[in-house]
Amino acid sequence: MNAVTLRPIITKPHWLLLMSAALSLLLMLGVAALAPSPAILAALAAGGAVGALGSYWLAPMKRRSIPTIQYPPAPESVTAPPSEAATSIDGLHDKAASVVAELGHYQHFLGILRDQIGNVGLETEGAALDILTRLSEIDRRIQAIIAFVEPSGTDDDVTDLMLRSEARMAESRRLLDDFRASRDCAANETRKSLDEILRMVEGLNRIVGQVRTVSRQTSMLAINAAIEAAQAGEAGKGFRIVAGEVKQLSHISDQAARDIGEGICGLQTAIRASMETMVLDRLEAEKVGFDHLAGSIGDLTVNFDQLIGHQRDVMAKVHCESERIAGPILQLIGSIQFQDVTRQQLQHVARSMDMIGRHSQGLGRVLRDYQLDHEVPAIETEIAAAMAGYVMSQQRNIHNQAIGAEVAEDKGPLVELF
Amino acid sequence: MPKKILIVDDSPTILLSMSGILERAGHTVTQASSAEEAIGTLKSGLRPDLVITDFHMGAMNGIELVREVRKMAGLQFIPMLLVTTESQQDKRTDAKAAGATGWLVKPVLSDALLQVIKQVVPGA
Repeated sequence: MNAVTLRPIITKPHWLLLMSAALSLLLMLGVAALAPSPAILAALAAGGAVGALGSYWLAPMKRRSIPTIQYPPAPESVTAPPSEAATSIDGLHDKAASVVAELGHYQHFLGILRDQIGNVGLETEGAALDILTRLSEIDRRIQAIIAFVEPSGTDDDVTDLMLRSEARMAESRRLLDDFRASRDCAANETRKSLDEILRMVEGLNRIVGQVRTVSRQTSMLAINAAIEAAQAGEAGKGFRIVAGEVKQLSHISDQAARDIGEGICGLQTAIRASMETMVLDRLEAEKVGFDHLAGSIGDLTVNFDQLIGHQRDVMAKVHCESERIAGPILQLIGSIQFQDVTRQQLQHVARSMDMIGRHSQGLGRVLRDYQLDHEVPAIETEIAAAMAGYVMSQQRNIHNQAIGAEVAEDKGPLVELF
Repeated sequence: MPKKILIVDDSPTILLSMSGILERAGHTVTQASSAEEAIGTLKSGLRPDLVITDFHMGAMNGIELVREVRKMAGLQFIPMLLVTTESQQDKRTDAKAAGATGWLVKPVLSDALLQVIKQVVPGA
């Protein structure tokens, strides 16, 4: 073991450093006591401790060139005049006793700081786990959203819906067109039938005219027969009566034909009126209704297409944004690993504090018991052991920087496959 | 394609973080908080497609775990990655000699981790 034999040598710079380290430590603990949370308190305390102890710990390496003030040797080797030596030795004993007392405090404070650092580790670990749990929950929900609005599935659904809807609307339009054509055809047939009826009625008018012509001719024949009967005298008396009856019958026939003609005219008027009302007006109304219906279906198709397009845009946007959120969340889940890196650094600091405590205890034992031959491992040896326990290049670099040694660049890749 | 992955680390943070990343990628994750626990899990019959282990752990470190696993029947050739804060070359060399497949320095981001898994696990 690399060790030094401690002589009663306490250098002034060491004294000053010890006192300043203790003051720094107490100051940081005082500040930490005002901190708002246990984690910050512990971090401040730990930081103060590390700074305070570091200033003492590293001082021998940085101040090697400072000349030391040596105490006189132990009593048995004192060579000075008794009176002066006794005074000097008494003073040294007092100083040594106060140093031993101070060193005893170190052990206690180091214990406190180690506990504080341990608490920082626990606090940050608890917080990291909480953050991870929440991030995982957020990530799970985002993945559910992404799965719900997955482009392929959504597109399939939307396309299927659009195709089915468009097919139904096309079928509706076709049925509407067929029905309208059917109605047009029926209207034409009706119109033709009515025209036929009108033609037939006009045919009846001609017949009525013929009947009236026959009646008029019969009436003329009856007049002529009556004239001839009158000329025949008594012999034509019976014939004159027949001629009168024939004339009367022709009048009746003519009157009946005229009545029939008037009835036929009334029928024609009624048929034309019905055709106007029942066919033309209704057809026009139906046409307007069908056109409106066809227009509505067309508008509905356009609106539906727009709606589907809008829905597709919304889904695409939601998917895109969810992916954008999910990426950083996954990165955060990975980045939380910094807590483990920090934990290992703090654990090393805590172990170093234990080492410093043991070392200071050894120093105190030498001073208290005045064991001039007691060997205490040199602080350099302890520091070397601490450095060997580093678990990351960052720790080594900080250490080397603090002691003014060369900071070796860590050129190893972050990922290396063998 | 989903794979079975055993993660060994004494840090709950690392276990949860890595599990989150790997499970998101569809893999099935088994956790062990020490090398000894990992060996017990493997001896109980788990046959993972990949083992990811920390280096600095309790009694047994990650390199020692690699050596032990390499002695186990059926596990001589499964990929084993060391994930650690340590980046020293001599330790990497030790890991390689022990039979490790690769060395990753913490913190390992998700993209890098998944990329490495694709490289060392066939069909991942």
